[in-house]
Amino acid sequence: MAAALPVVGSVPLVAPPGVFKGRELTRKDRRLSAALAPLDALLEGGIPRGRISEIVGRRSCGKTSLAAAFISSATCRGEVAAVIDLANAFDPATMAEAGVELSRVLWVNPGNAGESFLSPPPHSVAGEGEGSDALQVTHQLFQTPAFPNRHRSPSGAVRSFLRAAEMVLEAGGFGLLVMDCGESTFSLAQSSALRLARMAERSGTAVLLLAARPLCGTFAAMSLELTPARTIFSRARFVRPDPKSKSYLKCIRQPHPRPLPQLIAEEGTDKALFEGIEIRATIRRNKLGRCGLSARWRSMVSIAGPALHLQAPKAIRIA
Amino acid sequence: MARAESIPVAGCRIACLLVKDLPLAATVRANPELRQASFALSIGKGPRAPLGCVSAAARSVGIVPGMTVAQARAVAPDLAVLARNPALEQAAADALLDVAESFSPVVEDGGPGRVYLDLAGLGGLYGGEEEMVAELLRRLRQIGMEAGIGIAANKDIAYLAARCGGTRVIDAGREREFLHWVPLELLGLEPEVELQLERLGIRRLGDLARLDARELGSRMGAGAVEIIRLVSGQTGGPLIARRPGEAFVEKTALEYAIERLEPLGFILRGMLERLVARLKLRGLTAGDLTLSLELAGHRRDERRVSVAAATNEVRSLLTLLLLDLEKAPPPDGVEAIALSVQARAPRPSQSDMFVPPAPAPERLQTTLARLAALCGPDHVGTLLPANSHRPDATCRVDFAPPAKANPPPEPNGHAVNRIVLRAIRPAQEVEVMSSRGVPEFVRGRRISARVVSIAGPWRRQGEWWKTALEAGQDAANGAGADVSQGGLRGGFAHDYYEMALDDGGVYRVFRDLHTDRWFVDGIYD
Repeated sequence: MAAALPVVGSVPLVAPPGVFKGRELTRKDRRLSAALAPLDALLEGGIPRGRISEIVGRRSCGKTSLAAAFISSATCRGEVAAVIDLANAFDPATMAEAGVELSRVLWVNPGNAGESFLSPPPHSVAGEGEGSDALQVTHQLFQTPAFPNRHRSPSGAVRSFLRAAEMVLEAGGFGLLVMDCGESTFSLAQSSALRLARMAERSGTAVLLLAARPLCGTFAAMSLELTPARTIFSRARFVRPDPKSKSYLKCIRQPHPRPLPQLIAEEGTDKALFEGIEIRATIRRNKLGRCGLSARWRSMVSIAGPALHLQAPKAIRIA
Repeated sequence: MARAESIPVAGCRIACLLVKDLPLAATVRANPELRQASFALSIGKGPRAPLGCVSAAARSVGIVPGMTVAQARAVAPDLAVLARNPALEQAAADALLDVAESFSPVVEDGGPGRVYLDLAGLGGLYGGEEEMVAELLRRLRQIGMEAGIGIAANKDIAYLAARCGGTRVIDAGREREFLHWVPLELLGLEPEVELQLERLGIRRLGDLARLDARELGSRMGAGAVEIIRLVSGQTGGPLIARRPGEAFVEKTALEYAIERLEPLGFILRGMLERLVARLKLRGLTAGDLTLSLELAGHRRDERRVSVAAATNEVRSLLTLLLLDLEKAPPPDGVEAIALSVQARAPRPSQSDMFVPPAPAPERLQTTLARLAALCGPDHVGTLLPANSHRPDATCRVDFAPPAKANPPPEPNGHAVNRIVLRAIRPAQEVEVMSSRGVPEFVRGRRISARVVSIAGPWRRQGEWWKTALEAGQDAANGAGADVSQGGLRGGFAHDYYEMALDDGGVYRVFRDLHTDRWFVDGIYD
């Protein structure tokens, strides 16, 4: 308000751009874009820096692909990102395909907390045994372990997970910190979430938490829920690639397995091909803007279209 | 008698750092709690072993070198007696050299506990000689040692000045005055010569200098002539510079074998602290560590602990050492420890006004070391795709972000991004029920769902050059080849499918052609 501004002589003092008041350490308008048009429009430019943003959703909802888009955006700008990978699920090949500059990504795996559906239940004896194999002390001497609780239990891995995130935030200078909880079902204590939020604000790092359900509660500035709208499979006709061509070599080196010559027995016939997932995102919580808005986009195996060894796809079938 | 009238080498300034009782100083450096304590060092073990060095506190209660341990204990029952430790003394001598080398580029090793350094040209860096002395004392305190400091025009006078104790700066032109004052006992003469001179009433160098050198030589031998030459400034040659030391080693011998990790960690912490103090003096950081343990029964255990990012944080380095020891404990009790560190220069950095800020190199290295200590060195770094045809093969390298950024890509105006796979490591075996060769149902330990859509199979095979043993190991890991089936020699042969199940997930599933088993190795997410 102009009336509230102090006046020196006849000229009112106006705060210059870039100066903000109060206890806020990171400005709300500093955002990290995903370089994905519908999402950037939904999030008013991207996720806020210096705040915790959550991406929640079930399996195959596209949260890892969205995180990759943010990492790609940060690393391509020259920033350094960190991924605390509780589930040990970081796949560098597909991340690189998604545009992530891997040399700018610090990967930290604090141990397996009993992620996901396929690993043993978190509190089972087998799970503990698997996690502690490397630290088994077999000799009669030196029986006192230096780290009695280290990686012996899922809760130990979660503690390391949080501690590693705090260390990264303490170091400062990281543009983005991705905390990938996988499908672990641990609960985050309010004190831990508060500490993370404060450290994020102090460091100015955008913190992105990937989880099956919201973990940070009120300490998250934004919570984005993803749901898979549909899975896209297409049918395409195969032709035999030229083994000497560059496109063939590129084809066999890509991380998504694709047909090789010995498989193309049914040359000229139609085959199904996985193309990607259509994703719907809804803002469930937003301290810095409106809630309840939605957007849609597609996470595709190949943005440019079907792989080089295919003829034009005949039709797209929705599963 | 022809005698030089003045002390030569004008403008030359030499400093001497002198630790009078190196064994005591080395012991105090390793055990700071003994600094004010009454203790003595014995030569050998047992009650009959003679005492070699005695601390000032012990000397004040009547303990003198040469007493046996039993005699000393009779005089002072609370006297702490330690065995003399040459390894500690060597480390202390090296630390003293580090102080000198951190201060001046020209350093001469004058023997154990004695170092000369050239101060010429250092005024612009440190200020006057008083400031230099203060800085040297600060650096000595940093490594936990005390030494006498003497500064003079040549080595011998600087040594005598240092022998006086404390710090003594002999101004240029006043060397003769100082030499005439020096008591004879500071020269360390043979007892017979010293007694003879005392009988003649000669107690200081000045008294000796008044005598005729030829007459003195004929009566008392070459030693006396040397003293005359010293007083006249005819001794003290140039400094013989040594190459700056690049090895940073701390050693210690234990009085009894240690068989548990906790006390070993306690000793290693002290050694690391001393090493890091030396590295900091030289402006270096600690890289890979080499730990050599002498074990009971004349056995040795040597291990190299890689440090992902050079750091001077003792806690992180100690954790890495303990992690390694915990993984593979020494097979026997530890009797002696040698810890060496590969010194690395701190990573230089130059900030750029036009690129986003990155972590400060020193803080980043410390953070990496702490993360490695927390999660294990193999769990921190940059994960890259391995040079392999296996789609799930990865390799880890140390994290070192490039300084320059690539040009930013063109903005993606489309509503499309790339899908990413969540890896499942190791691949989990599942049961797949098929109808006419087409998978219809997938069942695993925590998965049970009908196949809604499927794409594939896409075959991948390779690594046929692997030996049978390697192939067998892969098979044992659950995702490799079985050489006995399919007529293949080894390696892998997989048919990959992308399956959308009715639980909502899209999985990457493969069938191992050698074992005909099915595995899930990733989820598209």
